[in-house]
Amino acid sequence: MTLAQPRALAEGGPRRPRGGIWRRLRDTIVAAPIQAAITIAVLAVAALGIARALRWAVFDAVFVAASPDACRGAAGACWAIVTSNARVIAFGLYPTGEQWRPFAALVVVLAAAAIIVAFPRLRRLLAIPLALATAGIFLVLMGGGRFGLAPVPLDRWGGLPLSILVFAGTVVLGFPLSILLALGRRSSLPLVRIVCTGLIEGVRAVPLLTVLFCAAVVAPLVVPGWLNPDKIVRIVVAMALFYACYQAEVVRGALQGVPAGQREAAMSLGLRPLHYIWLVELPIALRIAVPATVNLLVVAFKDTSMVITVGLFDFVATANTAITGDAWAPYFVELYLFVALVYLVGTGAITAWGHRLERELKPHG
Amino acid sequence: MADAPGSADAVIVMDGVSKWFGTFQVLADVSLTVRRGEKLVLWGPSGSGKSTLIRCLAGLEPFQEGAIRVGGTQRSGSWATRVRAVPRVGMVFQSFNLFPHLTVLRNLTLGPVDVLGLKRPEAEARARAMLARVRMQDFADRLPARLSGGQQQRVAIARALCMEPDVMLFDEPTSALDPELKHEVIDVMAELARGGMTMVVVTHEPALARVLADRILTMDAGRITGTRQPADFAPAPDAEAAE
Repeated sequence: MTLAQPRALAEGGPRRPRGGIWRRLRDTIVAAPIQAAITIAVLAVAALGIARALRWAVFDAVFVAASPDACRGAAGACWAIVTSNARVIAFGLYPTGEQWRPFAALVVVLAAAAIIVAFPRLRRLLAIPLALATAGIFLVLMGGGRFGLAPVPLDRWGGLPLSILVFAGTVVLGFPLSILLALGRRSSLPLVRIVCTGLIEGVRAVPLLTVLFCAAVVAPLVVPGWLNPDKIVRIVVAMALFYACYQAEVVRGALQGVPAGQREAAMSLGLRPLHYIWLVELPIALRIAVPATVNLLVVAFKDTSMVITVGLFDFVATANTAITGDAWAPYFVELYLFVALVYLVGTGAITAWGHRLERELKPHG
Repeated sequence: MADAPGSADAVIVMDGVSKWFGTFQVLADVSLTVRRGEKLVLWGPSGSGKSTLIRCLAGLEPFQEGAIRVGGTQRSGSWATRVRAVPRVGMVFQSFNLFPHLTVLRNLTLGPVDVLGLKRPEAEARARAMLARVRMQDFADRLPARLSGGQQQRVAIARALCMEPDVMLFDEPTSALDPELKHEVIDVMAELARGGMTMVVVTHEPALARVLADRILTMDAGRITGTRQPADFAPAPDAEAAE
């Protein structure tokens, strides 16, 4: 007895599933009268909301104005608070005549990030030299004192470049540290294990604010002067430590997800333990860790706004200076919407890159 | 039962090995000798200790009593002693255990490059030769996940061969495979056997015992309980038809 052939196979060759987007829409949002009614109601409310938002944000808005007076009569948003104060929002107290330098520094950092994202095949080869070159150019542009650039002291740095510097420093220092902490925590040497576990649990037991306060205020009191770098360096190190202690637990969890058979296969080939960790275990574990790592990167990016508590003027802090006077103060909503948009672009870029890494680096091939 | 340890052409000598998991004894005073070129099959029910035995031979398990010598080097189960003796033993696992993040070729060159210290081109030439031996030469740039189980197991065999071992150990090499994929692995193993490789095989697969074995030892409750003949595993005529 033969079973009835599915029609498509009987007619020869596999067939694509029928229908496209319209069929999917029909099956999901207007499949039954009640669903159709809900769809129409939701669309109507959304249309109303979007129309109102557009009228406020675009049609009735003031985009450019020399002074806040131009916004007084407008029914819509006053984006002029952003355009009129763009320099101080973006770069803070950085000397006005030199502000092409932080701008160029931002462009260099974004270009480097774009290269890494755009050429995944070159990542392994390029990542470290490119990061070093970018850091060098960034610091020379911002700090000056070389190549005929006027020196700009660290306490004049601020705004977006400072936020990005803190974030990049946190991740570049913190990520390798997190791997060492995770490996140390499961070490067979008791002293290493105790130190790493104590550090991870200790740092995770206190808020970021406490760690920053210790780095900014307590460290200069208890550490000899020659061991005391500039405040911005101390803050970055503190942020990196804080991030590393959370990331270490992500890495530790991922290490546990590496199948035991991998270790046995490495042993049977005669690989030394360090070779096994470096060539097999960590590459697999870091692939497993991608989603949780991206999660913590987003947190670290937003946490850069905490550095104002110890007197570094990050992007949120410099944006705030735009509403310190009475003149622009009524338009804080527009200002914070803009700040939120910038952070959304940043976290969105990190998330999108993370999704791409997940596709490229599946742990099991 | 077992033969006297230490004959002249012995590759593996196991002398009075006992092993416990906690208080449970998995190996009880096991002695055996594997001669160069010999194909030994270990046969027995699950839990009889045959997998533990072969894992002790591979240096993956510590044991409490007795001694194992492989090609003259004493071994225990610790990674350090295992690594110091350049591996003369190739191990093939039930679940393949290929490195999932590395291409087939890099799976094969990892040992030669990072353990034996070969140059890349030399290691790759060797790897391609071994891939050809297991008829996987067209898959050098694939990731393991893109291969069938039978293909993965053949790559795993090639990976072990790249270390030029004195003896190959197989721990249930076909148990994780669909029936139709078993045969491609059995064929490769039979070819290896004809080439004169010394082999120790733990298996539940009658065809492997029939095709490969010079000698079949049965195990039960951690002891070697006897020998059987390859002819014992000839398929009954109706069983053949059912396949």
